[in-house]
Amino acid sequence: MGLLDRDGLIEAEPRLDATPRDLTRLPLELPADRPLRLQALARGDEGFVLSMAYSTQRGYGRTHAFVGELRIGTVAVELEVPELGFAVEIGEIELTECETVNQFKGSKTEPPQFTRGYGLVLGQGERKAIAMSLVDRALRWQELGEDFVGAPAQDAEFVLYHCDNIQATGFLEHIKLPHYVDFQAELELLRKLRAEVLAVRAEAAE
Amino acid sequence: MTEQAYNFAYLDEQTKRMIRRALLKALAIPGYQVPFASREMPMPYGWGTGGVQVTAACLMPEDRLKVIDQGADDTTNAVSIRRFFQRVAGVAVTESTAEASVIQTRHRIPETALGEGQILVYQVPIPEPLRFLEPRETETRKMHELEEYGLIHVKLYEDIARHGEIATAYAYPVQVEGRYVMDPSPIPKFDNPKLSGNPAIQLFGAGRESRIYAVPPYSAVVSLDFDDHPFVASKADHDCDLCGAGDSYLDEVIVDDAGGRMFVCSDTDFCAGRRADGHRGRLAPEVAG
Repeated sequence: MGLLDRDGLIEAEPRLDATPRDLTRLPLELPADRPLRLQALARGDEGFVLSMAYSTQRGYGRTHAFVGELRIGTVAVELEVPELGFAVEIGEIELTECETVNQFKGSKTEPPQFTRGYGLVLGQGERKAIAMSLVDRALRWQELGEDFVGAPAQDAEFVLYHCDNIQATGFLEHIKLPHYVDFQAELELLRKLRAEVLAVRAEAAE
Repeated sequence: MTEQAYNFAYLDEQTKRMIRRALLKALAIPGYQVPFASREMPMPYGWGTGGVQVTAACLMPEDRLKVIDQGADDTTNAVSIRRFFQRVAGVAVTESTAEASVIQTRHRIPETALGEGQILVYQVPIPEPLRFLEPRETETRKMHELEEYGLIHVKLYEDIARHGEIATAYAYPVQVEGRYVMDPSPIPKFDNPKLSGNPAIQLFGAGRESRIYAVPPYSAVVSLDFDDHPFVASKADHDCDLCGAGDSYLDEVIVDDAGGRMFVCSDTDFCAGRRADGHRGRLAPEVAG
């Protein structure tokens, strides 16, 4: 990757010194910039991210990716306790990182260049890291001057609001909770609507 | 794990402060959905994480908490949340609507009229009243900004054209103080009139969707309708079989394999209170002695 970068064959990774918005501390707001999208994807459900990535490989928004970097390592974990005001190192955690090299497209100001997709996931998870980098790349259509072809993986609102497995699981499983009050309301309404229709029919039959 | 291991009411003070700021903003702009930094709670999303965070931010040690789900104090979600706050806040709890200073609810407004100084906290699954007409949050926020509510009126009109009446039985949309259209959470439309002019503070928390909204005391809350098809707060056409009440929201309970059924108040505290006062319904057991 370094050599591609040195020869200008791949897009430069602009250095951002601003602290990115923290998805765990602030609500998701759209449009979401890339750091926010990456946070959501890193937390995203592997099956969901995998399917989104796969759909772009099959043609719903094309991303053909070469794996530029795929590595596994450990990083220190620091916990910032708001009541203490300083960070405490509490251990190490394993991560998998992937950077892909993707299709190029030039513009009036930029000669053709490879573009990047990035994935970073907890644990040893090459499949999710690669999938994430494909989805990251697909979501970058706007900044890279590509067309929105209506592919699900290009749709930031759809992807970001539905990739969180904890949210999806909780909301799905809440339908195990009692719903008899709202069910009763629908039942009464349905009986009423049917009674009206049946009364009209009976009248017509006479 | 000891109770002392938690900050009062579970959340840290910075988080409570953040939620209180959102609550104040919500009260200042009735019916407007305020984005807030919803935290992960020790319970699944969709099970009241928003309501629990709002309650945690409101609770004071001297409060008396009531929690209901489907109008009942003894339903699983209500029991879990009540125990949670007993453990992490040590507050007193009650099943009596009149004695509670904070009431957290899922799907009902208590039958007993609320008073000044009481706080009613609703658990909200989908805070956006326009969501099932327009799935994109970016679009619906714009529609609220522009007060562009034509779409929802068209939906209600289409209901009338197809069914002869508005086919929404719960989570019936309302307009607050003539401005924001608001989802009252999945309460039956029978409860909608209680939203309006209520002396209590009504707070709505949607954890998964990171939204808080509010109806300040004595606000005008109007259920959307048409002049020639006015809103009707409906319920099952029966009296309660236990307490005989003719004006409370009823659950229909199947009592045998032949489809026999009884109708009982969904508000357990209201029903028990009436029976204690000597009211008897069609199927009420005889009082011993």
